[in-house]
Amino acid sequence: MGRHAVTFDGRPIRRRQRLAAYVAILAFGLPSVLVALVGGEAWPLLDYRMYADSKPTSEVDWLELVGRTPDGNAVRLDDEGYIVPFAYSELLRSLYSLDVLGELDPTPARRALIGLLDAYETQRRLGEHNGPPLDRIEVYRVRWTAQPGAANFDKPDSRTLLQSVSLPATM
Amino acid sequence: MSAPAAAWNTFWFTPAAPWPLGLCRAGFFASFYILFLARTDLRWYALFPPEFYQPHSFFAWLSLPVPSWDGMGWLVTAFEISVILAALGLMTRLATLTAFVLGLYVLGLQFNYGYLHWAHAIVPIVTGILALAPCGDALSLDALIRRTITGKTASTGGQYRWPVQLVRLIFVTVFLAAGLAKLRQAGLEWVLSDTLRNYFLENQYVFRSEGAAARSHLLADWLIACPGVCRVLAVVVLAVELSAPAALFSRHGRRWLIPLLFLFQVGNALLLYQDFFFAYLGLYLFWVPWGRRSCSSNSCSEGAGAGGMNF
Repeated sequence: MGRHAVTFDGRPIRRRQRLAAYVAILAFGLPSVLVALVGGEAWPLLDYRMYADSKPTSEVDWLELVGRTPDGNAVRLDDEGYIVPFAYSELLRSLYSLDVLGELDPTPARRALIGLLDAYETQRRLGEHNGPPLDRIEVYRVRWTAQPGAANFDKPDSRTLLQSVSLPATM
Repeated sequence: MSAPAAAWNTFWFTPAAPWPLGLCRAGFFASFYILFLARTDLRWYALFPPEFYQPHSFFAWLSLPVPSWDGMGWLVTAFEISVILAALGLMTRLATLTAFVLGLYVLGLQFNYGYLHWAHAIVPIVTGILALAPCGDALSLDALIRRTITGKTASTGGQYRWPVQLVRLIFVTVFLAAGLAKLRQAGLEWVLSDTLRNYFLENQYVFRSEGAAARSHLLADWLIACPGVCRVLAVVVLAVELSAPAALFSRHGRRWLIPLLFLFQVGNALLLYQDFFFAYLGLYLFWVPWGRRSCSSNSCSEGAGAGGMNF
């Protein structure tokens, strides 16, 4: 590999190569800049609005997903083995997007929770996790006045049951 | 040629050596594979309960189906192979094109389930750019084979400059978008209130297990105890995000801004537990002024000098 391998001859770019450049600029560069300037999202063009809202208070308003065993014991479903392929925070965000708060219509969220319970039981029967059998799944709205290190995590200011679903008898 | 046209041509098409683009290609795909694909089983996306499905963007427009476990297995395997081939530079055009199409689908699938790993979006965009670029002309097995058979190597040209510039543009656009989104949604309140401090606090609850496991929560706790420091940090974050495009045009600004953006992302990982950016760590390679110091000509662009790496 001698130095002759690359020559700086300043040749003009060929027409086909210039065309490829303009296609790339029009297909990827221009839409990315436009979405950045005006907002909106159409995968994979995003406006990266995470953490963009103002958050003037330290109140935390979040969800908790709990399973109920046949004898009424509560199992917090934050073990990702129980909710594959979701991570816990992803699953809760997904429930928000399905209106689990019931601001308009919680039916899609309730349907999704039934699907989640069905998947949990299917995976349990297949031996994919060692969680207990569950009768129902419950979603709570939990609020804290946040403290450093989430010191009061186990003692929220309020905890309200939003949804509770069980598998239909035919499933 | 008018001044704007000359500036346009200088920005996009100043001749550059082929090897920096080859190096960026290899580094980007290799790091994406090592830091993300090798550690993540994307086949799991086939296991989302169908009741969670809310199709977005082209998934909705084209009514694309959700694959079965086996179907997803084939797609993911093909995606992984294409990424590896693209890193090696073997059948580079086909590999990058396949990685682009499959990446759009495979990485985007989770977008239809109500949440998103924002950082992943840049991966198919950069892959698409590289699919249109002659990124396999150097530092690739294709180039090695071509050289062995024909004795020919790629020479310097403007076709090796625009892909690097376009990836840089996309890169800074991500940060600009994040900064503008803050101004659109919160305005100056984002820096004048305790917003950043409160996000540090909130994420200790939202990412409870990650926060408890990370030693960095001690740093977050210290910052939370100093609201003034958090506000200064918020000003710096917003200023760096909005200034990011300056890195495209100012060599001096680039020296400061790119390390600051990297630190900003490390801070996201440590304090907000958002470590997804490691998936595209290789993009920082596009900012390294490869070969500039060894370039003897004044008209030589970044990467146009330092020959001898053209296999």
